[in-house]
Amino acid sequence: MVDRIFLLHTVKALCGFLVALSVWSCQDFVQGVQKPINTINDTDLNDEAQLPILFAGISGYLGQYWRFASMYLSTLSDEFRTVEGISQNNVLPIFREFDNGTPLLERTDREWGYLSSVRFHAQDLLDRVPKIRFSQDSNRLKCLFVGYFHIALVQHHYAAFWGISPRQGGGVLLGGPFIPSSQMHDSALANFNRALLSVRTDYERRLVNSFIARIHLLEGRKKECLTSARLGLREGDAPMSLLYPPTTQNVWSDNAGLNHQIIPADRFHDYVKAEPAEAGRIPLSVGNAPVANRIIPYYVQAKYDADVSPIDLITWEETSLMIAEMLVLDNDAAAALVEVNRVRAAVRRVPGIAALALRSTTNLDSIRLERQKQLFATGLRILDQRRFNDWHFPPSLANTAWYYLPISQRERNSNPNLPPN
Amino acid sequence: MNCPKYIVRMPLLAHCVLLLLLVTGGAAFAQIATVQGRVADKQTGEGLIGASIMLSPRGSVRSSEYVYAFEDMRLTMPVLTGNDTQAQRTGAVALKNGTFELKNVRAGDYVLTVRSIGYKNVVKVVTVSTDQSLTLEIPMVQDIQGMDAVVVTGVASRMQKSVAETAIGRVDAVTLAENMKFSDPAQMLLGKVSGVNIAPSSGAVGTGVRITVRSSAGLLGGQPMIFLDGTRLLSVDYYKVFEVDEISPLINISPEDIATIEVLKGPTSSCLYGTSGQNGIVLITTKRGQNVRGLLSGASTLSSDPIFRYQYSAGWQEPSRLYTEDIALTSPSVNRVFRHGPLQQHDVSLSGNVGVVNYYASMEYRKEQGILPKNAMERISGRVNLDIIAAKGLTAKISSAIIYNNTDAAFTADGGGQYYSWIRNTLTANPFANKQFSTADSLAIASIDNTFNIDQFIGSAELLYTPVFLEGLRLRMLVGTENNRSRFLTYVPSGTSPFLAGGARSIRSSYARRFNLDLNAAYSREIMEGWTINAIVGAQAFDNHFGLDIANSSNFLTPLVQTVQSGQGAVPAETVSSFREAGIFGRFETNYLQTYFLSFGVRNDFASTLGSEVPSILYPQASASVRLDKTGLLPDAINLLKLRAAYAESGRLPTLTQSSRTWKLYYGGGSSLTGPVINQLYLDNAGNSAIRPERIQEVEIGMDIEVSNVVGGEFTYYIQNSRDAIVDVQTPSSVGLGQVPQNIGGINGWGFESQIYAHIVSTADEDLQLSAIFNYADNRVLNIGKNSFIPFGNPLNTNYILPGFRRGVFMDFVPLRPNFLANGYYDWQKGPTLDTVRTALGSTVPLYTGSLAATFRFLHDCTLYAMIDGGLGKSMLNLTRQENTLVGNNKRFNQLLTALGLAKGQAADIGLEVPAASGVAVLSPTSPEYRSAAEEFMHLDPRRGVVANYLERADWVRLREVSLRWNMRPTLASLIPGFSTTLRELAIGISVRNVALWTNYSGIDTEYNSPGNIPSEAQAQSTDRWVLVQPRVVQFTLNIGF
Repeated sequence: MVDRIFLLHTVKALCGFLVALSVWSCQDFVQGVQKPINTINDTDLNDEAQLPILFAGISGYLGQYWRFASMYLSTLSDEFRTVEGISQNNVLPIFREFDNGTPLLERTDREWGYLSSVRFHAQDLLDRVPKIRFSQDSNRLKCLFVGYFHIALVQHHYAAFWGISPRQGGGVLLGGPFIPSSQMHDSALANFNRALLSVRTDYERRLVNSFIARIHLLEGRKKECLTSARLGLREGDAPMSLLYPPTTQNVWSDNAGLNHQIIPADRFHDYVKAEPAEAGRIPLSVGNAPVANRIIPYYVQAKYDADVSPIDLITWEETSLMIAEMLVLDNDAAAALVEVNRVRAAVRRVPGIAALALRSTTNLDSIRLERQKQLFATGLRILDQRRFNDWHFPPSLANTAWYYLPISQRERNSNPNLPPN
Repeated sequence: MNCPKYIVRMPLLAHCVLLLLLVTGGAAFAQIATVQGRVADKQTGEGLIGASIMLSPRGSVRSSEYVYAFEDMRLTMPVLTGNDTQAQRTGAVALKNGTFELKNVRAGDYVLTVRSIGYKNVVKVVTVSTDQSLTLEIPMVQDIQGMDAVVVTGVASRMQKSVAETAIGRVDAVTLAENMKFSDPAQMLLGKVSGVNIAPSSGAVGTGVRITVRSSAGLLGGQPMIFLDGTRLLSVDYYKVFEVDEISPLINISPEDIATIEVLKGPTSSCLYGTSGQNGIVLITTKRGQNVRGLLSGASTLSSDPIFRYQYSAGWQEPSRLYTEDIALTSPSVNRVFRHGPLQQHDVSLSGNVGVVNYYASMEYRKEQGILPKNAMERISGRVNLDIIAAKGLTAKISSAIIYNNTDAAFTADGGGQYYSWIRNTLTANPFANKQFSTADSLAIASIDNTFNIDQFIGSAELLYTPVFLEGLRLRMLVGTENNRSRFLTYVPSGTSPFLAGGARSIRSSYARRFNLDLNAAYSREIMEGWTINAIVGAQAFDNHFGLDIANSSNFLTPLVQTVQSGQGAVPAETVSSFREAGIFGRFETNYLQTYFLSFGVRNDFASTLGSEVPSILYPQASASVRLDKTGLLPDAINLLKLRAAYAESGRLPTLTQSSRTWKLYYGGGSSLTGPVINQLYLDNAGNSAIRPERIQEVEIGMDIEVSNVVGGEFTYYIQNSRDAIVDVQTPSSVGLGQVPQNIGGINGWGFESQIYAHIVSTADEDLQLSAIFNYADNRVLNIGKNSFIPFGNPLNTNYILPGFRRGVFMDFVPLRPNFLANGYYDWQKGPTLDTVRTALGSTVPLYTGSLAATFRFLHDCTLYAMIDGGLGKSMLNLTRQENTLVGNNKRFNQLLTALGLAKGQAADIGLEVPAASGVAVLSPTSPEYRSAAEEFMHLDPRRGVVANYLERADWVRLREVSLRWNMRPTLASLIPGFSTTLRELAIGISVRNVALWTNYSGIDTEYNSPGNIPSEAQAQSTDRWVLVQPRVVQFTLNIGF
């Protein structure tokens, strides 16, 4: 009897052992799979040596976002328009919609996603700072600066360029409720100020202040705008530019270059015609459109004529024009003229053409004109149209045309805090 | 002991020799008899050559041997069991005219078992008396539904279909291919198995299919797992290039090689295959060699004559429908592009037996051209299958196939390929610009190369061992492997299209290495009179490794040099993916008197992960059936009445990366602030460490009935339930995580499937068999958590997973009323006012499907076969029509445009460049007629409410297959002396596929099933965007056998 019980227990134990062995073997087998060679494990990025890669995530998405978004905004504004019949290349429907002021909400899925990815990567960088062992404190500071700066930049873009409805600007953070522009800009300012605590160079400080000045400009805070702009980028400072990787096709030249049908408003050609030296900041190319047995010349932008032409996010020239505008509003036209002429004098010389003449007087209108010319093909024109309520849409669209890039359909679909449309 | 001295003095060895002499001598002088007879078809009286007759002493036959078999014993008798060579058993094969003879049979009671392919087994007790010559007449009844065939009922379980506890679909491919010519196994399944829907993805040659089994168990559906002779194939494999229609791995399997196709339809039968089998299993078994002369002891050492078969087929493809002006004004242009594509095929096979080896070897060559230019396929394949009786009770089975396939893949689909699509370029050209091609001309499109080559090896080695020391124990080991190398080349010469003015070249070279292992042991025993048990334990493993190398470039300076590096932006890319699955399982099966059946089992599944915790889940399974016809309670006319019920769980395990966060690098730029870079970091997988396996439950009840061996039916109702579905949920973009895997809810599915068959006429000269299938399958998405719906990623985001609706429902904002300008004209810019909420408008998969097939043999040797299939409750999004409308290619739209004064040059010209239609009265903008026309016009608006305006019902009935075959051999044999000894087989036939289509859909074809970019590979989108019509395939065949 004892033997039988012993035998029974032995069989049970053996079965249990075999099952355990099988389970262990299965687990061992499935985990013996070849690890992917094209992916990076999250924790492997907590390494100082990987900082360039982490930065590249931020700047890469920023570039992807602004390449198209700047074109959409320029087409939505009165700066560029879509035409037909001047070449065989079709205009993508999305540009036609922006030109009409009636973009479908899903048209901005990609750009909204890219911009949000900039914030995500910037926040991810900040979250890694405590996990990384830095050999130099300057690298830690750079992480903090890059992180806060880009979060602030994203919030500024939400506030300045995006909207929940045709007339209501603002954005969304982390799937939360809609945040109106002014409130979003407050958050941006707070993060720009955090970035200022980690700057390592004066250039970085001035760059941040230029963005802060633009926020105050858009929010109508003249005094603060002037103060920050004076601390911002100055003559000789490099713009903050988004760089194309080699061989990537340039969105602007591919859609608004020669043989394409997105062209600048006629007045830009008029500006150059009136002052040939304006071609230094309004570079145009001429094409020939075959229309009814004759050739009609048309003009396209030539600012982005190469695959790698960078796109500026902000420049010292814009900063100077902000100072000039605030000075004019402060009734100091003489000081404003200095800033305007500083910008005009710096316009790139066109070979064979005399330098752009300096102005003897200035006023608000002339500064607005200077801004149009200086900010040509940067996507910023719409900010002035909104500030000065200077719209070009036909009366039938007076109430329905978008003054912003619409917050995307995908965000509305997946964010329970937003209305669907 | 008082015994003779000489005996006592004998050494031990001599005792043994004497004993042996006594025994054998006794046997030699025992009373023996001869058993002879004839096996014949009960209805026609024709002798059944090749029927196997086994005579086993009563009491030695184990019921488990037949109930829980390794496989269909009728197909593989000579290699089956170790007991066949036991001395007391004897057997024979029916030869000429079905006669047989068994000599030297000892007197006693025997169990006589007679089997013949296509007939029901005959089992009866016979008594052999001394010195008697017993003559038996054995009439056999046709098994029209294969109820006596052994089918797979689980990963290591096999039963006769007549006692299976779940609904198992089975296609007798040999019989099917005798009548109809098929190009791949999917065509053999279409309309043949209840609960299974097959939808071709395009009318182009060499493209894939979508297989939907029942209501698709998981939230996102999925494709069934496919096994070829035990080797696991991936259901969806090859990458698409330039949006060419997907290519199916099934296109490389020659239908002429297939013996049977079995379908395990849901978790109730596929549970023990693990999570990958949640949407069913398709088991394809190829032909094996047979020893038709020798059967049992002694005879099995004889070799049989090889059977040589050759089939030649030739024919053509043509469009099964042509475009009409109602579809597009440019219909003549596209109809001119279509062509008759010739095809031809040679199939050679050799099968037989040499000693202990049964062999089957075949070669196939198929060359066909599609109905579009630049669409063709050339397939060469070879197969060798060997069954080796390696030792007593030990059988080795080797299956191997090598395939070479070269496909010219025409551009037909949407996406990037639209610019080179024959259909798009001809159909969606502006009819008023006198253009035949919209973006590229015919010469340019014809200059594009888009080829797909694949070299593939599929093989398996299987060992079956029934040790003699432990009767009832069966051990099985199978190793399967699939290796392939493929190359997809696309070359668009410069100048072909304004979108790629400088031309482009893309090369995708991939390789796949897959390996699967099955180990199982089964032990069956009759523990008491009539009560049999069968216990199975086993393990499965699968290793998948896939690599893809890509090189793209564009803008070639000259077409004279076409290498990738000659273009600009030559960027190589490499993708490697691997995953493994493993599982252990156990199953216990029992039956009493072969009348009451009960089984239950369990499987634990494991899958690879990059996380630390291996995903693992336990799935139970239980099933039961009862053969009421064997209880004696029913009239004799009911020869089969089986009730069955089953419950099982399955699921879906997280994939390799779903539980952990991973990143990748992608080509991207930098900024002046952080410096220039070439590759940017991006989040590849947000990951979710809390992810759990999806669990799917299924309950199935059913009934199989057969009356008088003439009429029968199978009826099954099932309920499926999925919980904790793993879905990559789109988080709000503002979060920046993209899609995050979440357990977000589930889906309920249910359906009814049935098959009715009848053998109405059966005489020597005439035979009529009918089969009808009716399926109903539906599902409802349950709560899916915080995110109210999941849009599938098709071009318009029009399919959704929404609580309360069918999976993949079409949703849109319906146009409510037209808007008018101040002057009364239709406001084109504003378009109609849309509803504020989306409305469910239709489903991508049909609610009801079915088929009707008839096989009629007449004049003794001629067979007419036809099959009709159809579906109800499916919708198609007609984006072809929508695109055509935009370019003025919609006749009705143009008429309304004119009536409303919106055409070119009219009072309210909207700039569509569409001239006023002739003969159409222009309406006054203030008239009620104008408002009425505007209402109709609103529903054709191609810009707003697109899904609402262009979604159409797409019910269909298609005369799918028709064939006529004349078996010439009997006729010629009666005319030419000695002919029958020369030729085993001589037949000619004609097969026509896709003969006619009747549908309420306005487009060219109801079958278009591109997977697009949807998150699961299974869910159909049912979107018509320059769909290529299914071809009508006409093939003439000549069969010769020696």
